[in-house]
Amino acid sequence: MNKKAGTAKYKVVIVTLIKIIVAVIMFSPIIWIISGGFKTLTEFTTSTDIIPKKPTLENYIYVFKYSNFFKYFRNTVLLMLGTGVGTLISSSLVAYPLARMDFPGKNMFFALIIATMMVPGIALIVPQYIMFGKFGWLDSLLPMIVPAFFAHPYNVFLFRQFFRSIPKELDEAAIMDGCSHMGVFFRVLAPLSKPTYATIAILSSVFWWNELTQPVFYINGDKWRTLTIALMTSFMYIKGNTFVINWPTIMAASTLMIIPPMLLYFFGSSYLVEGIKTSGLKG
Amino acid sequence: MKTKKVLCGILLITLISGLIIGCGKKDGKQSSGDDLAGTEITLTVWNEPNKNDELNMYLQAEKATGIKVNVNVIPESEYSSKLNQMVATKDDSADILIVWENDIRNFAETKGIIALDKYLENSSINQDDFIDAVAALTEGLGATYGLPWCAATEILYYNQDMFDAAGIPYPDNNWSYSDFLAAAEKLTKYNDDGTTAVYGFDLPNTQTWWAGIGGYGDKIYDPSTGRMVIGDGAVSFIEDCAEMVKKGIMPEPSSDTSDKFAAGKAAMSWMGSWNIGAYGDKLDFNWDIATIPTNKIKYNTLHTGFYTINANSKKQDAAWKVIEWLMGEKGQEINSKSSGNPSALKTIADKGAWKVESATTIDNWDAITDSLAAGVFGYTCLPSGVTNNAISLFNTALTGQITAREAVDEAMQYAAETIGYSLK
Amino acid sequence: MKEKGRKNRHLANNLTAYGFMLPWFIGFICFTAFPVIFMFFVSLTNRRLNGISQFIGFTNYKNIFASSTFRNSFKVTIFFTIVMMIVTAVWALLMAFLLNYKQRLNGIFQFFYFIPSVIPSVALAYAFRTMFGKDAGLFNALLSSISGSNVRINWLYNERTVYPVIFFITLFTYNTGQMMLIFRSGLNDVPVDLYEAADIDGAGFWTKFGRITLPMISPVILFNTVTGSISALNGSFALLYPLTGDTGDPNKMTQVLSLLIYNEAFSNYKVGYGCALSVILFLLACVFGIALFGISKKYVYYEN
Repeated sequence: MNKKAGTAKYKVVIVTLIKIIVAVIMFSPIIWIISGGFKTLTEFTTSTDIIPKKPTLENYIYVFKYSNFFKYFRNTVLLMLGTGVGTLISSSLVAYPLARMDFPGKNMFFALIIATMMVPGIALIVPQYIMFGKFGWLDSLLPMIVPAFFAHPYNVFLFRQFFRSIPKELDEAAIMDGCSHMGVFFRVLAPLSKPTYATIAILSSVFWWNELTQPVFYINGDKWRTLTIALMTSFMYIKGNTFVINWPTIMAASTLMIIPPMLLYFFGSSYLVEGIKTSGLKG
Repeated sequence: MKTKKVLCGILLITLISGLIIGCGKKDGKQSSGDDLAGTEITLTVWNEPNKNDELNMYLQAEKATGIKVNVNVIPESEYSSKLNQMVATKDDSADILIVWENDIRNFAETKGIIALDKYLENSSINQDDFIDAVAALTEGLGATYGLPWCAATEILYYNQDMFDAAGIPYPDNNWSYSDFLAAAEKLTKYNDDGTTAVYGFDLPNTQTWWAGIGGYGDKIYDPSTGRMVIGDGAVSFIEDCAEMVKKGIMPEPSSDTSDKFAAGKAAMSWMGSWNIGAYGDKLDFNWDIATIPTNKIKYNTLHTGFYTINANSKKQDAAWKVIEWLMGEKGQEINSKSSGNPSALKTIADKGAWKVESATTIDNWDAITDSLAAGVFGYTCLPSGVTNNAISLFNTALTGQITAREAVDEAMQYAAETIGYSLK
Repeated sequence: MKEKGRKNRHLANNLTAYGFMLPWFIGFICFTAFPVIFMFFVSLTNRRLNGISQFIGFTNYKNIFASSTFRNSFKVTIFFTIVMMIVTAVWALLMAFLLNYKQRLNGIFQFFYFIPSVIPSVALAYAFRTMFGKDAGLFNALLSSISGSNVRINWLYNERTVYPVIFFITLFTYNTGQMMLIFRSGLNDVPVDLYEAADIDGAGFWTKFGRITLPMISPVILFNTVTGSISALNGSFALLYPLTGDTGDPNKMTQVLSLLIYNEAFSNYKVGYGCALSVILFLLACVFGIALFGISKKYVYYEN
């Protein structure tokens, strides 16, 4: 008995130790980013101290004063809002009949939605690029926002899963009372699914906050640059010299960019975590 | 009934999305007549404008012409690609495009930029005053499509303090290649365990690689066929560099690239003349410049960009007015002062505004004129994908994963595949 | 009369359903179906970025299969996708195990484990480029202080270290965090009495893991790994483009297909060729997708 308690204690220590090591590994890039933002370029390229010897704010001053940080921030927020609103409206509408109605072709359409989820966006980006070019949408946020208004398969799937978890009796009762499907959707299902909307809004925001690929393809100049692109461009080079990467400024801007996801985790972790778990049963 | 409601909903969505689409582009305000003051134009460039207002030529142009100049910075690594995309899609968001050597011909031929002759007729810009290489570059287009914004060169930067400490005489503009190699070796300082503390010579950057290769006698770019022509010269230069890397004289290419010269970790470096403006008085050691010492012939790549007007721009007159100011004496002077790049107009360059005032430790200003004389338009006329690929291969050869010969052959093969010709 | 009414109701019902789905119909046709067909057509031309194009039949495909750059890239893509899938799944499972080990501070640990997955991959890429730098990188400094000598490994430029480092970095992607959360709920669903029974039999950790945990969560593992492969195909661009560039340094060892497509279409302006490469990537994704669909039909219940 005593021996068993001893091994249990020993086990707890080992597991805790491993846990801490994994935590340090996982968090090391974040510490590195935050620390790098307070170093000078010379210190950054010559020393690996986590606590800067001569902490400086020059990188933040550069980001706020000499770069168009607020413009990039505005663009990113616009992108998040546009795609968020679009996908919430359209995807939930599309998900409704898939979750609640019977009609010919339902299974086929659903299979098609699942199938399109499997297509990596990167495989279609070149033809889409040509197409959006013909529309005159390049170098704007439209190639990303407009498709959001026509239902992202991914989010349709999520909404459908969530809708199905709501008891069917509720809308059947509403139909009995003479409610149309539109009425059921707006008066019963949508109000009951507020947490679902919040979850998908959060997932979508996280995705677009972090998205690099599509802006890289679609955005040319400074006007609609998002923060992720700015990190590869505006924050990257010091004045006049495009061959010297200004690492500390990148780190300072990165620090600013990792704050919102962290806050989101603090304040909306249940939505975020639950949403990602459910979305895991997709593609 | 229900169907109607649904259709209404759908209509609403379509309407909203339509509205958003409609809101996308609406800066088509046409400028009218002579009154150009107050118009707003956009200019694309790859360098951030100078943070000092006096040296910010775009801001000064704005003051002088009354036309607001928005600067759209696209970084060098993707500048050519993004500009090609803008021209291909008839983007009108930028009015003045500063176009690179490799693109101007293509843009002119596909009518992405306009001929400037009608403006030039009534202007004081003297085209005969441009340095000769510029004229050759746009030969055969039948009209003038762009005006060179400067004539930049590549030079050797060296840390005088380190030369003093090692007891090596400062390089002059006719320094021999073998002296250079010997000095690099002597200037290198090692730690106790054999790793390098201070490199003798920094890794050539994506531009100055070509100076070394051209200096060995390779043609690099053949204007008559549009091909990339490298061979034995490139192999020799890569081998020289690989040797230096092996001895720890030169740093390997690495993911955390940094300016080792500015950090005092390399005694010599080959870089563009515009770094003079960037360094100014900011380095905490004495430094000077010299012509790049190369093996067989003096070689360095001329760099310029052409002020052009986007054919889709709705404010071409305003754009021209700004270009005219930028090409004028004051505009060229500020450009030279802030960057250290001489003007492509000989009479203006002769006045020497490019001798950056803050770079007080430089004595050998002749290095610039000497380099200019040896400068040619080389790799910059090749597609950026081809040259980027070549540099990536050269760098790989430095780490010993492939031989110099393999790197050169593969780069040639790739250039042939990409530009579209057969090597046989 | 009655019959007709029911028919009408049916029709109205169907129309309502299609009305609800209209945004998706439009979206599917405009942003998926049309681009797929269009892509195939463009792949048969020598279209340049400036829009000038000419029909050239299957020449692009012929050139692609003759090109060593493509063959290398195809191999790298398959290798990257499969290894990333395995590495991230194993790591996610490890983290899920640790977090499911009941302790008080698990909330905080989950924060540390999970946060890297929801920050921009481009920020991570730059952090790792410097952490794995040669002269002032954190890892070399760590190794130096452990070994006492001056370690100067050029992690991301050395042919022997570049893959381990890249796969280490994939542990910090969204995919890993997502898998971890799914594994956590999968592990929670394993009935406790199975473990208790095993305890009575005196089974050790590995026996329990091999005999109970693995079989019980195998559908989740299978599902995770195949979804992971799609994410790897799709997400590699956002990670590798800022990390090793579109030339896939060193020596194209990291040039996955998405980077090659970007490089050909936008650095070399060969849009037709880029489309042909996209067709190949699309087909590759289809292979993975069909596998996923087949597997998920068997293991995951979409219809209950």
